[in-house]
Amino acid sequence: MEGLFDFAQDLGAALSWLLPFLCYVGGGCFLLSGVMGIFQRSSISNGLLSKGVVPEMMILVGATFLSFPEFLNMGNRTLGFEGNASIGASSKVSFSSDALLTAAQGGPLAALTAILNVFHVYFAAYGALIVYFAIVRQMGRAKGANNSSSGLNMVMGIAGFLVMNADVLGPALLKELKLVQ
Amino acid sequence: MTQTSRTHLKRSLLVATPALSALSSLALASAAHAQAIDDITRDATQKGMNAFGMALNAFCFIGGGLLLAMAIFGWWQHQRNPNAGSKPGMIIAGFICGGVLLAFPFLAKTASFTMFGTAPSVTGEQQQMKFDK
Repeated sequence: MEGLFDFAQDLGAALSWLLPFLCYVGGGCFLLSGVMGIFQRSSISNGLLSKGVVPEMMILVGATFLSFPEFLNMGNRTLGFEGNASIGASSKVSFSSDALLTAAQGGPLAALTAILNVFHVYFAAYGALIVYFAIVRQMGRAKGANNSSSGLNMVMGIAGFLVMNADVLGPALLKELKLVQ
Repeated sequence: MTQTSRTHLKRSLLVATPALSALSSLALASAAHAQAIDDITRDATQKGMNAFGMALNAFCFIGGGLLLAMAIFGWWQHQRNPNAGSKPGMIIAGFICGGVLLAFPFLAKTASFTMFGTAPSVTGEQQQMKFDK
């Protein structure tokens, strides 16, 4: 079991390395495509011209990806969560089984909270990744590259924020359903 | 191939196979050493970021320079023969977009400031995203 928790934390750390990389590559590409799209619009008759303000939207999405922690914080505040995303030098997460052992004696709510705390990095990074891909999908829809619906992409983004805060939502739901005192 | 050489081959294979497998298990033991997925991702993304940064730099420099050159040449062509197809709109857009590509960090900074009021936090350096509570 300890191995599983350790692995989950490693996965979370891997995703949190992957996210800035994706934001850098995605944001840079979107900014470039935006500038090239603006040029295309005036040079050839049917580039992104037929797609309204797609190049401008690409520049805004590129800027969003380059400031992705700010976007995540904005979304978290909007949904009323207190989680805070930031970017910085590496730090290793470590797992100790003592926290789980003491929590197991404190009843089901404490145990669930402790388990979700262990998975916190994984959930947070995975949720942020879902938000990232929701934005990419919506941009693809604007370009006409995929046939996803705006509503679905919006739900995907909001659900990403919910996954990010699974360690807040889980115990809150249990309390709301009156499953624990 | 004669019968004797075939048996000889079989026998030497019989000896070689266990020896090889023992050697390969020794050689693979170091490679299969448990390496955490986060370390692998960190190293891989570091290389990817370096590669993308260089490609971006090259694209912006070459693409921006080409656009400016195209715009100047298109202007000259437009003066020579206005009906040749080099539209003034394309020439102006070429100047602007070429300039923007050459000053790409300025665009990234301005766009990020416009959206969130801060400089871009993802700058191409190896960083880790952190989630505090």
